[in-house]
Amino acid sequence: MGIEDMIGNVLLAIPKLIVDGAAALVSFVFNGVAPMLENQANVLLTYPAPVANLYPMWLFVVQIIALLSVVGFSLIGLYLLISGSNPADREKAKDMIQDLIFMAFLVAASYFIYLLLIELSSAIATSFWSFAGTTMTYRPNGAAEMVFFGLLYLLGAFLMNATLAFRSILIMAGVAFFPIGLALMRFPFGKGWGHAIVNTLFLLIFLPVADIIMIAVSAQASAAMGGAAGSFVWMVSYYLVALLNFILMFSTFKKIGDVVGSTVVAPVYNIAVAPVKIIEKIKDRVM
Amino acid sequence: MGVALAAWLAAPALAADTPPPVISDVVWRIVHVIQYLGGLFAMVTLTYAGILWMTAGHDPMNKDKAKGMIEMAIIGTVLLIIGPYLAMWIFEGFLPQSPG
Repeated sequence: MGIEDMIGNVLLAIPKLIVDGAAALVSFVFNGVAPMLENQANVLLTYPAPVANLYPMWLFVVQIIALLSVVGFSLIGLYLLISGSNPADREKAKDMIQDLIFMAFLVAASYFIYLLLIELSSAIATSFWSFAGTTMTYRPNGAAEMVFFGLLYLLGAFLMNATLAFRSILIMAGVAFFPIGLALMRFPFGKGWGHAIVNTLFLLIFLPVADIIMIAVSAQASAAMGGAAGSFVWMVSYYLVALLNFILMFSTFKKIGDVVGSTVVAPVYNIAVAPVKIIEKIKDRVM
Repeated sequence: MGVALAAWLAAPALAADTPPPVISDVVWRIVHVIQYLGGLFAMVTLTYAGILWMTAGHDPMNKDKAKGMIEMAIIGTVLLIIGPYLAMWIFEGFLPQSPG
């Protein structure tokens, strides 16, 4: 073997050494972090959020609503007395009583309804998971795949877990907002708010079902494709799930923002600009 | 009158020997104020409706008006008395005693 051949061999070995070294480093991180993230994702997707910890908060909110409804019943009674013999007022009072009674039952049972929804979502997610027959594991084949996909996979899993953890926190806090949403839904002044709260909580509770379908489909596609393309599909699914969660949560919060804007900001703005408008009208008349 | 009402509502808080009031005490005081007002109004309404009926003679419109007023006054009074307790019954009856 001549000197040229030796130099050539060394030059060829350098990239392989770099890739192998990088792969060793990435796999060190990967093997430590990936199982943890996968377990976490599995728990966040299939186990119900522990809302029982926030039961005292729910109880406090419901007690406040109960006291308000006590006042509400008295006010309807007074309204009936004051309205005289007007049939339209009588009908209105009747509707108000119906709304109040229905609201009271719904709010009193809201904890069980909330638990039921969470358990239902968890059961659907778990059954989809076992039906798809997939496990949330991806292990790169070879050094090159480890270098190219390893860290990207970890980042995807981390982003997915972050959105799922955020969702879980919101669901836990939601147990206190759920009765408020149900109570507001029954009255014209709070219909927008009520629907926004309840719809958001419904979406947050049933979000894992969509996530798991997406992951299961990606896993099947990945297994069917095989090789680097299959690994790529498997990895991308985590990003897609993270993106889906983010978009859905962002859009619902934007919707809440719109409701807040229309029911709180708009009247406040109108009150704030009212003096200016009055002055302008006076000016128009005088001028 | 407003000051007197506020003082009366805050009476549990101002009393020296009683424990600090909870929000439900204040709410029940408000409910009692509404009930007193309602009772007063029911009395006036029933008296007025009675006089209207007595003086209606053969006028069916006034008779119907008086009937309607009496009906509403009775329903309103009943609701005023049992309504708050009905609400408490619903909530206390259905509230779980411990987290499920």
